Amino acid sequence: MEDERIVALYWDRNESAIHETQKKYERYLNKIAYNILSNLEDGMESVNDTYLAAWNSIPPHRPSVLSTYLGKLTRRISIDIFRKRSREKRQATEYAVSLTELEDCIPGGSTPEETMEVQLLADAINAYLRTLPEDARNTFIGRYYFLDSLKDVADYCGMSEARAKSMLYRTRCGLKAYLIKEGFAL
Amino acid sequence: MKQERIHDALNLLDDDLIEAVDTLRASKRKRKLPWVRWVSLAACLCLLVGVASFFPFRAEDTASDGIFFANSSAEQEAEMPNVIADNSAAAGTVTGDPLISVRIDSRQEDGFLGTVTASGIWEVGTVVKVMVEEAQISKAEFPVGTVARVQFSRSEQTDGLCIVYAKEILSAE
Repeated sequence: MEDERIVALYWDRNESAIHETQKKYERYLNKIAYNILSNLEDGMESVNDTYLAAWNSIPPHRPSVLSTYLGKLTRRISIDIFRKRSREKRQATEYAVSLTELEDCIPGGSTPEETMEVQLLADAINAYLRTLPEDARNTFIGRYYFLDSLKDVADYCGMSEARAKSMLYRTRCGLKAYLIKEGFAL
Repeated sequence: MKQERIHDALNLLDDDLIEAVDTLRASKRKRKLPWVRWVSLAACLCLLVGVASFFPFRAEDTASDGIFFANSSAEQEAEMPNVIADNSAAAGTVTGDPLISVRIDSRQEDGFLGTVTASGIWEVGTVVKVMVEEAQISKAEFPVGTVARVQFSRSEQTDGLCIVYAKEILSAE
């Protein structure tokens, strides 16, 4: 089913939207989740949360490319699960436990300043990536957005692993220099 | 942590940048070394030549086996050795089908048994069974012992006996 029709199902609050989404994108989203979490159960949890997040956000959103929209949701949710699991694993010391306890003192969600900071950083990264040759841009996004392995990135970008590795290194150095120039404190 | 901020920022990448890489991931292009392409091409050519060498031109094989898969191709007819192609036969004769001259040795229910009298597809003296429809051959016109020119559409070999399926029976000159 085309994305447009699936989005229309969401807008009509037709629950078959979830089923159609799952049918078309489950494998795609599982791949993104597994790249981040390396755990099938956590990955499934992330993808299920993605369907819920999609249901709750469409409407008002009307994405034209559903894969990108869902992919971002899965990525964000998977990273959040990863951070939560990491914090749980760190609870070996009293210090780590206290960090978790004190976390509850902070109101949920990001502050407006934090949200703005992330948005500004995103704008700068977008601008920097657009200055790059296509290969360099694609390897960076493949490695750091999709979190594919270096081998996979090299394969679909049509280059050797060694070349992809050195390209990523140069891109990271370039990004650092660009962000410093733009005034980001790193 | 700094790296976490960057990952949060990466979640806000422009959609068109993400879609471009998504397309690549879906196609999963493999890196091709230049020489691999030429080696693959050479291997395909060798395979084609090898396969072709196992299938020589069909008319030569079928002629030597005594089996001819008749068709209306003028080229194929031209390559048939010593086939009598007579276009001056009686009206209604289908041109392009091979002809053999056969002396009728004995009549049978579905045709007759005969002996080839002129070299062509088969050697002189080859016994053939000619399958005919009753309407195509009259006993009066073609008694036993006469030589008939048989235009046939197909032939086969069964238990060492050559069998032809007659389309027209013509009088021998």
